[in-house]
Amino acid sequence: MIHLKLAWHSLNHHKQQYGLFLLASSLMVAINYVFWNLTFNHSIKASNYGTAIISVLGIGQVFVLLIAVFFMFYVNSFLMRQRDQELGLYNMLGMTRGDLRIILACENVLLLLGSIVIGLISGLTFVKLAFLFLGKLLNSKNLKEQFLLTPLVSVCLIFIAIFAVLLIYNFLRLRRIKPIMLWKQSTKAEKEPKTRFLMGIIGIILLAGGYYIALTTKANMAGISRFMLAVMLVVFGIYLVFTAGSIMLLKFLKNRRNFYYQPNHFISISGMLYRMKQNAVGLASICLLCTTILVTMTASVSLVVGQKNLIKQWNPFDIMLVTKKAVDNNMVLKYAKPNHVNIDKSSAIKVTSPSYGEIQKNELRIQSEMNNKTSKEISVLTVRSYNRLTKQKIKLKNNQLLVYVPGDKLTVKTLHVNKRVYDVKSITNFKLGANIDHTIFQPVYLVAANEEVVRNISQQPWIYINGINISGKTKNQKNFATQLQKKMKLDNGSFSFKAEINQLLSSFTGSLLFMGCLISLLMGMTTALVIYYKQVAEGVADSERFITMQEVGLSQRETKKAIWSQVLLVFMLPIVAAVINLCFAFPAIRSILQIFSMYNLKVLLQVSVLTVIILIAFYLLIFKLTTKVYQKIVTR
Amino acid sequence: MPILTLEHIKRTFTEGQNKVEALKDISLKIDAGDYVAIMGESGAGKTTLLNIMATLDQPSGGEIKLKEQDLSKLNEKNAAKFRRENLGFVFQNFNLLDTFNNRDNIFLPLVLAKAKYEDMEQRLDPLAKQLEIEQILDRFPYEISGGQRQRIAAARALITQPELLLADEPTGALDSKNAAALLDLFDQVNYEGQTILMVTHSAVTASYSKRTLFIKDGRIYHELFRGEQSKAAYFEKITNSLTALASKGAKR
Repeated sequence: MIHLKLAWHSLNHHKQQYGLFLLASSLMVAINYVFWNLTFNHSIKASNYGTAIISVLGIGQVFVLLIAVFFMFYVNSFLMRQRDQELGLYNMLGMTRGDLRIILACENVLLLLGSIVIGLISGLTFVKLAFLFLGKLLNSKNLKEQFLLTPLVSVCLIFIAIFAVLLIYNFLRLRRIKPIMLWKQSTKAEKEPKTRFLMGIIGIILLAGGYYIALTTKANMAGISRFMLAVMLVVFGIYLVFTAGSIMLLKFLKNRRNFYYQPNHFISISGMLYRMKQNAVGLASICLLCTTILVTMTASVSLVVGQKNLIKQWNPFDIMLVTKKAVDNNMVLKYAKPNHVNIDKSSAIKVTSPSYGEIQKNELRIQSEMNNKTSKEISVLTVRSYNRLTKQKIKLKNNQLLVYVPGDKLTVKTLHVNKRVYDVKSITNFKLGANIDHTIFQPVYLVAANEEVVRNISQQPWIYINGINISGKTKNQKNFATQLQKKMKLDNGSFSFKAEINQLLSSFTGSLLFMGCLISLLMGMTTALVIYYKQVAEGVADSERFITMQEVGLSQRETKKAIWSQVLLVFMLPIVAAVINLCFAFPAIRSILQIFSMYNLKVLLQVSVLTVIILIAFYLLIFKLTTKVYQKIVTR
Repeated sequence: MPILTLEHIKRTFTEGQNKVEALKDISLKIDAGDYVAIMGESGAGKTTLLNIMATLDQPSGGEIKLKEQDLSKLNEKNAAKFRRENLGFVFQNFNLLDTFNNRDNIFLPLVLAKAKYEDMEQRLDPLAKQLEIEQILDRFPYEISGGQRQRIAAARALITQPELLLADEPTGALDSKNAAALLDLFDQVNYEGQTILMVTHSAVTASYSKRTLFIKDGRIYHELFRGEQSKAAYFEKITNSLTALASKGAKR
């Protein structure tokens, strides 16, 4: 009982430190809960590409969990250093280590309960408010907030585990320290960190491995789990590299006398080097959080921007029909008239039904069925049909092919298909060459010299792709489309009406944008709080140092300058590293976006540059605000 | 020629409704090359007086001048500059920074004054020899003994060649052997012309000075000069004065 009382007493007594700890840990609970909740949300799963979205969310879930583990250790180390003195006092007053352990355990449980309660309440509120506001803002109605027990319980279990590990770590720490040392721990200095080459090298290897996987993974079904691995490698790599690399950098700077022995550098470099092990974890966390914001915002915004592109690929004409026989134009007209709809243009072409395949360098492989490596859908047509459609007079030899890839270009000059080699030329004007199946695979159209060559490449049955452009009142167009579809007995796979697709896609990209904003908002808040925590915790730790320096003759203004110099030096690291991460994630984002049929590189580049600029602005703002807090603590 | 002049210095603290007069009326003069000890019981106002002389605190009334500079009229920025140019500090608990190694701790005031690295090294060399700290310059404060730490602190105070060396209970955390070593050092630098003012509890420490001032209840109560006396005789006089001071206090 006395133990619980003492634990409660110390919680009450050091409100600032425990308050900060609670703030940090409940925030971690909250963001973990949000991710768990989203991955279990039925409405997300049921939406278009739901499974893909859930897989991407799964990467985020693992990522957030790793951040939570690292960050909790960081926060715990700050707390324990301040706790040692009190525990030492109890020890001197006659409490055994067993008693101290019970006190630590009581505190641990109280903090755990506090974090879970506060964290889950804020997580729940956040999800609710986010769905409410963002749903309104983006007008996405098909995503609904959901309360589920599984995520709740899972997050509780995860944090019970994390706190248990922290407790064991603290126990081990307690055992290492002799009573008299315990008493002195908090005044005793941390030794200057050694340069850790091995750690740095391991970090670089992990990071390189993660980058390599991210760069080489193709957009296909096996991709998601490989991306997951890449993310984990990068997370561990960043933590190690930041820890080892920042110490190396600071030592390098310290050894350059003319740089080091200047008031600002002198104070900031020594101060950072002194606490770099802890500092590095904070910085690495900030870097990783910034990376997430960059990646999610870049991906979701470019998807929305690329929506027009997508529609162009799916529906180059207002109405697309895929039929076994050529469509009878008179029949179409028969339905158009009573609906007051004009047929502006109507064209059709005979191609082979698409077959799955992949292109590796300059080899095109046709697959009998879809597998992990599938990335293309290949249709073949004769040059005669192509000429008739485009009113050209192109002549092809048996070993020549024309290639059309909507919204993209093939760069190879020759192509191996079924053990034959073809000379290849890209064409851009083939309006009917659409993504008729609306799959995640990129459509490829090959124009061959004659039917024999066609058959050599694909044995799929012939189909007709028909495109009709219409005009008239929206309502009439819709009626016409419905009646035509009904009459021709075509399902949604073979009949697509642009206006309808547009609506469908808007709601889909809307919900993706929603998810992107939600995650970025969450990560942004976390970043802000991590930075705030770092500044406050370090401000408290630094205040004595600055008092001594003021006694020796450092003015308030010089103190401020020194702080800025310190902040500026550390603040550049995470954002620069985050941008580097984004660069390496870029091909991965690109291939994930290709899952959603978004192939436009230029849009992606523009969006990511813009995102980086916005993030830096946000980051500067947070640093400016929190540095003021730091200054206040240090100069009071 | 007095280097430091205090005239009718007052310092009042307000604690809620109560006003506490820490210093009531202090006037004193310290000449260049002087070595003054200030003694008094806890709460007599020693530290307050030292803080005012150190420009860390401002008097509520009266005038304090170091050479021609009126210390009570310095703003925060100029006070900091003034401190690092004119004053050297030795504290009871050393106040060394664990973030710096010993060399950099000594360099701190010079770095703040934007001195060149070569100049700093030149100044440190003779000082390090004199203080016998050459071997420990590259270690950190938490790796050396208390006596060594106080010598590092002394080096930090002396490296700026200050007008006035202020010491607050410099021997308070040292054993008698280390205390004697430090005081011998003070004797030596004072002989070379360094003006020293220290605040202390210890009669032994005070007996190294040329002049001892006794403070009680915010006033200078008594003053002793060593003159040509032996250290032992001077020490006895200080002890007697302290006893007298204490017994008078007890009678009241």
